[in-house]
Amino acid sequence: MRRRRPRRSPFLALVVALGLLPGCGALTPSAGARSARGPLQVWIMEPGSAELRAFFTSATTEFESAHPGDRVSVQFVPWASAHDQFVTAIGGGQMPDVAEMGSTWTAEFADIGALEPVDLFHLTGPEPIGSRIYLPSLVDAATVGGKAYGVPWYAGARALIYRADVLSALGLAVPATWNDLLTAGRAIRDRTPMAPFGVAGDAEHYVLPMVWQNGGEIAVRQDGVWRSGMSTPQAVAAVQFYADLFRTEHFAPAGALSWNARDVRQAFAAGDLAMMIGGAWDLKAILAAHPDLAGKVGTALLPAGPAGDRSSFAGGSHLVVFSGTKKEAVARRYIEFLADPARVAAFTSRIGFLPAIRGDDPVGDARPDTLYGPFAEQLEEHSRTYPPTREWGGFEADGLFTAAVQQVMAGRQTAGQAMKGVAKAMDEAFSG
Amino acid sequence: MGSRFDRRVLPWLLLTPALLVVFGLVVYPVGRTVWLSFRSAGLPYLASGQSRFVGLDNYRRLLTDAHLREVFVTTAVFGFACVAATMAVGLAVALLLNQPFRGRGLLGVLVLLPWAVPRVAAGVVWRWMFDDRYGLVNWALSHLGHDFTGFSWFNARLPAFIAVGVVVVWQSFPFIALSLLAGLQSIPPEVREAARMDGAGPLQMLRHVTLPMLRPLLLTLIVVSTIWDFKIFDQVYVMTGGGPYRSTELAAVTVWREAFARLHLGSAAALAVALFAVLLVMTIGYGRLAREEMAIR
Repeated sequence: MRRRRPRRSPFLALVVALGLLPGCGALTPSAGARSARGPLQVWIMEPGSAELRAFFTSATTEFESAHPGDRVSVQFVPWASAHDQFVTAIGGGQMPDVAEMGSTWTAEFADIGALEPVDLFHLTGPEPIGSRIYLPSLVDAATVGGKAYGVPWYAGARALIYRADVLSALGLAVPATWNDLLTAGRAIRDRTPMAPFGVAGDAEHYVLPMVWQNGGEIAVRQDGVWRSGMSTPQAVAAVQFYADLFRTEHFAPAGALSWNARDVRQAFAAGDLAMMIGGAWDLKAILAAHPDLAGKVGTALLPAGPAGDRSSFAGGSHLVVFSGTKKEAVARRYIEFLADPARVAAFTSRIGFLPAIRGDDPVGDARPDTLYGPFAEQLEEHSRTYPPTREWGGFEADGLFTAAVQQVMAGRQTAGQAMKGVAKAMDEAFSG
Repeated sequence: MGSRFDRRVLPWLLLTPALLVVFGLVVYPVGRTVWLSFRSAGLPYLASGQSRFVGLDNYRRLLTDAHLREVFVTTAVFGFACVAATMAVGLAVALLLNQPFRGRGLLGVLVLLPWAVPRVAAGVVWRWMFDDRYGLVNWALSHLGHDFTGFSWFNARLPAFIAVGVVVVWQSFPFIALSLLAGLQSIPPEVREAARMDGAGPLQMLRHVTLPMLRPLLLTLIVVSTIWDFKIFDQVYVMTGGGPYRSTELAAVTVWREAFARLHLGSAAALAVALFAVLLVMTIGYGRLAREEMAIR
């Protein structure tokens, strides 16, 4: 045999380069051929709570023994990557049968026909209408063209979580207004080694409600078309106020420019932060990891802005059925099982959410005198939802708001400049 | 033996499985991406296949959008910087391992470890090491003299890219070092001996003997590194997410954001095709260079 010296061929390099083309190859529509056999595929959002997995382990066992022959496979998806994962799954025709979906995304996916309509009031079969009360904002968020595409499951609103021991040692009252927040924050900054307040750059649910608190609107609907309100004076001033808490007041460490809500929670749990915006689920996780903080923390409604508004974002989730499922009957039974008011109440109080489905009895955790009472009051009395448009999920996934707020926090742009860009991007998206 | 069937048909028959794989995994997806880059496609495309022909609009956007232009420059600068650093570290480690000393075998194995760490895991670990308050890096640097307490690596573009660059180089130098070590060991000892007889010092030896003899290998490794470092995704996605304010976005991250966050599938495809074209041109250029090199010999 003749031996040849190996030659690097340009063809080989070409094949290598082709194989290394970034992204995008798999974006091909698919018929969504999913099997009628095998367990029901369920995606549940993961808020970073160990309790959640424990709940589902026992719930799955309970469901499977109550319905012989039905099998369920639950996968946990972190909130931060969930929107991408839904998009990828739809692109690849690999959607789950049932999923929990963030309430701001349901409209977007329903709009392209990825979800089955669910009849909210007949879901429970023969039970009479009105035996259940759904949180209206979550019904609105699930409704596209007069049809509901998601069963409201739970809700939650962020409120103020603070170190009661620190505030009382300094003789400070719990901040009830933006001005109080400034006063208390300056005292904590100057008189303790702690950072006063979790001003995070990558946390839109912290900054956007401040637009409402300042009397502004994130978007308004005129003649059937949504228009951004982010470049109005109220919104610009709210963003500037938030950014200045970081930039000029130094209420948080320099690294907070790239913190998200989870980093804030960690800093609070580590004893480095005196006040933070957070949900009951944050507080439960903090106290579970640091029992020594019990008795040292307090909760209150978010401080009111100059307009006297104390609104927080009413977050929540829906249970949805993806279209094209071949296990509709099991899916229906499973959603009925999860959405049973007693089970929802047990689940939500364990994790730190509030039920979006109520039976006739009021829920124990919602009593105003408890540590968790303010979260219920915040949700019921002082919360709003973002515009229920199909574009919203994209704004969140794109980091449209957070990237702009970071520019202001870093002092690279004024709030006016940054919000002008945000408003333009929103209006372009709204107009298609 | 030697029938017409054997000579004409059999080779193709044997090649068919491989060709099918190449077509299915390479040619079709690339073709589809190129097709998509001339269309406007959003989320409905994924659900029902709707899209609209828009000609060169997506490519026009690449040229007119200031952010996208900036991303290309950033990717190129950061990519070449990483290639240079990786080659330098890899060469240094290879030269070290080529010396006879005790524990060389063990060190050779240890050097490989960073290469074996999954990129996402490495990103997560290093993000913690670069943490402003609890990170090992700030602690170590502060002990070395300059006060780095509370220094926030991810607040601005340059320090963030330094942090990401450290991880990229840390993960890619082992392969380079190992390949160069193999190259070094294939240099005939007589050549070195002759140079030494002529009075060459270590630096002269490196410049006039070692590097020239490694040149074809170095060129190949540079091509491979360039392709890798222009497509960096995992480390940036995990460590900075492209932030703050999108200043650390590299092309691959932007492709992902355009496609999966903004759902502009067409413009993401155009961006991917442009990046692909750049890499292709560079690869062909290097290939030419390497062949001329061989022709001279």
